Amino acid sequence: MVAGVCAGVARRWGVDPTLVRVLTVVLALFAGVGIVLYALGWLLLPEDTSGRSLGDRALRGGGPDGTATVLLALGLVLVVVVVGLGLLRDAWFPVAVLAVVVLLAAAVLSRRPARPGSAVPASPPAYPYGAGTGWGGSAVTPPSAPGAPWSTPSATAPVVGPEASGYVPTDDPAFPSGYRPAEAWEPTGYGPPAPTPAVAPPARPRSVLGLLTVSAAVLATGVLALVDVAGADVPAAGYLALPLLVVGLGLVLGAWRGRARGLVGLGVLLALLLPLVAVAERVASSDRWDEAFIERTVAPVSAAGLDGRVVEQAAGDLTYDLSAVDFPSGSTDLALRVGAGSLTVVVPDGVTVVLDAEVGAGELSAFGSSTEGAGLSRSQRDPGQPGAGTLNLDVEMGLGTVEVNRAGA
Amino acid sequence: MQAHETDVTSLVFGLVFVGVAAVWVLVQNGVLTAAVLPVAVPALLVGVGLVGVLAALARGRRTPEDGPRRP
Repeated sequence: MVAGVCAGVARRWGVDPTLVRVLTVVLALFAGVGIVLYALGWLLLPEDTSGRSLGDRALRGGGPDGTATVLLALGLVLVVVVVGLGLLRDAWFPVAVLAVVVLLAAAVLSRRPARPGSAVPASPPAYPYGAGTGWGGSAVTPPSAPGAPWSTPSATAPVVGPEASGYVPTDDPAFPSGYRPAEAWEPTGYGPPAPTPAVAPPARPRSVLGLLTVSAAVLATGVLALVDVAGADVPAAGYLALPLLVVGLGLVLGAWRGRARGLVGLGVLLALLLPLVAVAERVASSDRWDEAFIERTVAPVSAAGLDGRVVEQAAGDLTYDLSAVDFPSGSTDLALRVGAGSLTVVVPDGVTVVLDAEVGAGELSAFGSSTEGAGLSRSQRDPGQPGAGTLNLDVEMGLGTVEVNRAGA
Repeated sequence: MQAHETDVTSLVFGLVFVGVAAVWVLVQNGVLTAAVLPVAVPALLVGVGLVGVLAALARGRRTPEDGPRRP
């Protein structure tokens, strides 16, 4: 027994605790699901002694130990999910994404705008939506202040009795489905313009929507991971698209019911990551990848047709060997562009080289001097024999190494 | 969760997120090709933006007392 979650669940359902424990262990063997559920139960189910859940205490500042224990439980979830799924299947990427989602959920859950009794007299007018989260401003709640005419009983009255030990997290009294109507946070709604209490406007009861949505997103992502583990072909980007969809639906719902603007941050992150992962996945699985990433050596033997040439390559290793070229006395323009990879240019000893090189990130090495880093740029003239021709060499590299050297060097 | 006046912020962001996820699903399943994306994504933004503008205007009409009153 760690935190008595099994026994509590068993009592609630009126079954033998042993049954629940065995079930948990069996589930734990299946990619650690049981351990995850145990940790979630630890986090969300109310304790016998306080009648409040661990998460609730942490959120409302029920003692310094609460936060630490919540982090412990979430860390447990994270480790188990990563190790369990990662070992069971060689699928580290989805697992990493899942871990990010869980971490974000933890971050959202652990946000506390103001503690009761803290020195900050939290002036809510400056933050009309709390901290932007569904749970913002919850800690400073004089529930039935006169300025909140629509405060609902369900939002303020503590739930007592057997219901207080609700198992489903959304039934948890820790997150009452309170909502303060629009008028309360945009003071000039319809109805009589109530004299706004300038000093301490009532904080809104928190809305359950944010927690509900994040929980649903985590749940959906977990189910997707299980489907993936079971053998279905789940694209990696699906681990971003699914929670994004859930978060989006939660926000759309929040346009008319409840309040969960804090989800916007989570959604923005997921929406930014989704195209990146989708593109990377597509490129990596594409047949063209092998073609795009090539090793190529080009060794022209004459300067004919070289002037004004632009050589481009998306990715790979390009070696441009000009050592056999006899440059005419005028100037020759040559441009070499590689997206990612390496570019090696060999120039003959006699020619004068005017180098104009740019490297997005990587290493730039030319005529014996080398620099590394991001945003490298170099304009350099390396004189050859007097009277010899000039090569204007324009080199661009996105990510990788550029090397320009004399044939004799 | 109580009903309330339309929260345009939530609505717009929610629609954007749902739309991005939906576009991904369509591309993933081959309904849309990647070549359509340069049109599909701006179209999504235009659609969501229109919804947002209309919702904001509708909200403003329903609550004309909003904002500072001018003679």
